[in-house]
Amino acid sequence: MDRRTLLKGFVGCSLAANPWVTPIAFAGSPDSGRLGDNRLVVIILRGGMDGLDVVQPYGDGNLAQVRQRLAVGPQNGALDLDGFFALNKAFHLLHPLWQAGEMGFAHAVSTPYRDKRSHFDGQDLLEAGTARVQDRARDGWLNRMLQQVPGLEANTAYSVGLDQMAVLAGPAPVSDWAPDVGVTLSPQGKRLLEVVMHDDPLFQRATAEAMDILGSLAADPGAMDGGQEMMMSAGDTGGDMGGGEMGAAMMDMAPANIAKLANGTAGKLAEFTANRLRGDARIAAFSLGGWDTHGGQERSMRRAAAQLSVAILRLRQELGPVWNKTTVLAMTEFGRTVYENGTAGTDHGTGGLALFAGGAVRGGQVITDWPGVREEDRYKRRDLMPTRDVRAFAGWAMRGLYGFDRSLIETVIFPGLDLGSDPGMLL
Amino acid sequence: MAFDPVLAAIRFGTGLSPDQDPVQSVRGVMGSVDGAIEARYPMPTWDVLQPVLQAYTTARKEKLKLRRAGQTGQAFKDAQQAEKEQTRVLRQVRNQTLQNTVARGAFDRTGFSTRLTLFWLDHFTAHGKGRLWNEMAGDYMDSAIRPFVLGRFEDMLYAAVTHPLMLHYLDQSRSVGPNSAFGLQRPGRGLNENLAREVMELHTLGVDGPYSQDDVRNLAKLLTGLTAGTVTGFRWRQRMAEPGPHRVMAHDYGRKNPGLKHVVAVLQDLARHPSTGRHLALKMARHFVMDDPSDNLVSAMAEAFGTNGDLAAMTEAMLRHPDAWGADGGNVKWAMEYMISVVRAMGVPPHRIDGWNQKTLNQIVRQPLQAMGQPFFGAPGPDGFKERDAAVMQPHTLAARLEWALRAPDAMVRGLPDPRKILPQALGPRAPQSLRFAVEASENRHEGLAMIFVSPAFQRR
Repeated sequence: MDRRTLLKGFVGCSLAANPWVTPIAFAGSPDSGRLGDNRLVVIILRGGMDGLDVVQPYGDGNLAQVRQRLAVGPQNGALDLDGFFALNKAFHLLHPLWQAGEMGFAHAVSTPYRDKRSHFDGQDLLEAGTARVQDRARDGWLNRMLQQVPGLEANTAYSVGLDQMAVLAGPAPVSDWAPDVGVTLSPQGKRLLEVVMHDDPLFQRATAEAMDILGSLAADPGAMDGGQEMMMSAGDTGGDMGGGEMGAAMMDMAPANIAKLANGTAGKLAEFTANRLRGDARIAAFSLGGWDTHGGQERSMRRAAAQLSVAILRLRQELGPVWNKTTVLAMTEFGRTVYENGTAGTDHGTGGLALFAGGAVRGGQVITDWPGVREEDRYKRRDLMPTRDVRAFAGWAMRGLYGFDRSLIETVIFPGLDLGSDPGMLL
Repeated sequence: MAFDPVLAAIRFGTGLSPDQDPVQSVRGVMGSVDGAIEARYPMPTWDVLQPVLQAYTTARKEKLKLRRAGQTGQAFKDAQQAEKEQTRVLRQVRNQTLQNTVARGAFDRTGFSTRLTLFWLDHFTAHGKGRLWNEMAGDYMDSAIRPFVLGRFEDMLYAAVTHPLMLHYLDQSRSVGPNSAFGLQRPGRGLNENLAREVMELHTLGVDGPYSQDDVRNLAKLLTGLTAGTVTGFRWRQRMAEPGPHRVMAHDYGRKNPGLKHVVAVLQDLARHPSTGRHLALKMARHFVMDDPSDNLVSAMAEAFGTNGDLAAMTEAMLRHPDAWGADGGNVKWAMEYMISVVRAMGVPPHRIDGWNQKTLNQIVRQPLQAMGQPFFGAPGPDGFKERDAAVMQPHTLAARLEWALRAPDAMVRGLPDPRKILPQALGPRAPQSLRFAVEASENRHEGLAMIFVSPAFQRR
């Protein structure tokens, strides 16, 4: 909208003389070509996912000794991955992706965060991408990556969901979207609103974005269909990954539950994300909670696993052919204690797990320098010892997908990171 | 800058109201926290709540018993009906809590006690994770938080940490001393660190405080024995308590059999620790004054908090500090407070809110709070809602406030008022020229009112 159309809207008001009206920049022509064709979705798993329970090192005989109430290994129903690791049965919906080479893991990884084991500091550091809490950046690492590509529009990157995504916060333009919010205001009202918000940068920024996003959604009424379709088509979407198998896996869950989940927050977040990524967007981030499993872990894990599974499957389904250009990276603020606590759960720990998925990844592998879980192998005799910085996986994803320089990644995007050798996560 | 009655109402109260004269001094603000409004709009506290929880539990048990016995006749139908009736009573309890929270803020002289209560409720975030716990919100508010907002911090800390809702929310009830009488009989049950960690990290010392993992662990051991049930409420169970002594922050608590008095002692020591005063002063200044308060303000408040955790002194130190009245403050209002300030600005009469049924309450308050990112007793984690303006004011939360501001006034008054009349009621002399212009130029009353209520001048305090 240029200044003239803005002014034209105010018939009958002496607006031309009004000093509070200046044009507000709206996202212009799509220009995400600068990042190429590849898509990156970052999912922040809030609460500290227990990596040892999700991908269980049952080949390490010492784990079962300290985890007697949490089931370990294929003999207790987990799905064998490679003879050493097994996937928690709560993630069975995702097993076909592993088999198709579209999902893998990085194990015994962590951010540089140590010792205090605070969720809030841990998540701050994970999203800031810095080495120490005290160097906490005001921007997130995904935003710093975007800052390296001048001239990007706000519709290149989306922060999705009610939760504020610090990983995308910063000076580079980013769009926000959350489900279930509707706005009705007359065109006149919209312009007046810009007048009212004009002198307060925080409010002005929020106004422009809210209107922009809602406007684009209104123009795309098919964007938010329910989950029924996902159920129907789950069996025939797969090209080379054995869609039939995934369909069969999904049938294991009561259809009503699947539909409910698919229509729930995780499904909606994924559906919207896919909808944007099919268009001009290249980067998206959202978060899923429920990983803080202090007590009754088996049950909490089922719920959290279902959310994550639905999010990934929904992305895959909605992205269609674009899935082949997509990398999904799910990371958490820390792992949990090696031993289970007194309430069939686990407390805050250090080393943990990252998940990668997508048509662009080399799945079917658990990348790790396995430290062992005996007491003397652990971090502070308590937690899984981290053997690699989880930021390196995000760094290698950026390098592989968008070709960023190694030194840029190690100094600007993730200050103080040693990228190390290529873990071979991407195809 | 010095005390300003209009700013006092907006920044420290729940906003201007045509029905209330602004108080004229710091003393007036402090003095408005006199308990009168709470007496007028009571919460379902434990004495009322316990029989309700008991009745529901009994009715449900009876129904399940009959069902297991395979009964489908009249007796089962009666039991089913009885459970349904008790479910309705539970819903009334939850509605009363929400409705009276709004009414307290809306019809109080200043709303300062509501603001303090909401702030400390957020500091001690706790809520239900299942059936029969959410009903305790009103009791939590009025027995653990509200009595102490101008009292001693250690009393609030003890009341909050031992309240059934907190023991449930942070898993303390399940934590068992592995070497306690109970624990020895049940190998496999043991410690849960959740509450102990948050007491140190969030409630008292702060994450930068001088505590170690061992302190967390040992505090967790000391807290075993604190339990809660939906019908029984809080109970100390000596049989679950881990034998001591337990060393926390270089001090030993309890000997062979630590008791509740040692929990009292450790909480008192944590409450009086210098790191705690500093942590709370910063948090309070950040909430009430500005995102990045001056060190001078925080120090003055921490000093007033002193060695015995005097919350009245800390609060008054804030109000008497020049920074409290500076023009560069002005945080964005939180969602509940925001809604209440709209009710006040509109001059909504009490009987309108008293008359809200469940559906209206859901549409006008409960669901919008969620859309605005701050559900009632629903903070995303034990650290409460995010404090900084940039977290409170985001595109989707603004969209939710705008949508609400267009819709909610209809439910508050009969016949929408002229926005030009509401503007001075809402902002007094603080209405900016641009807003006056926009209110004049709005094409209908709905949009004119929405302009006022979503304007930065109104949403900031």
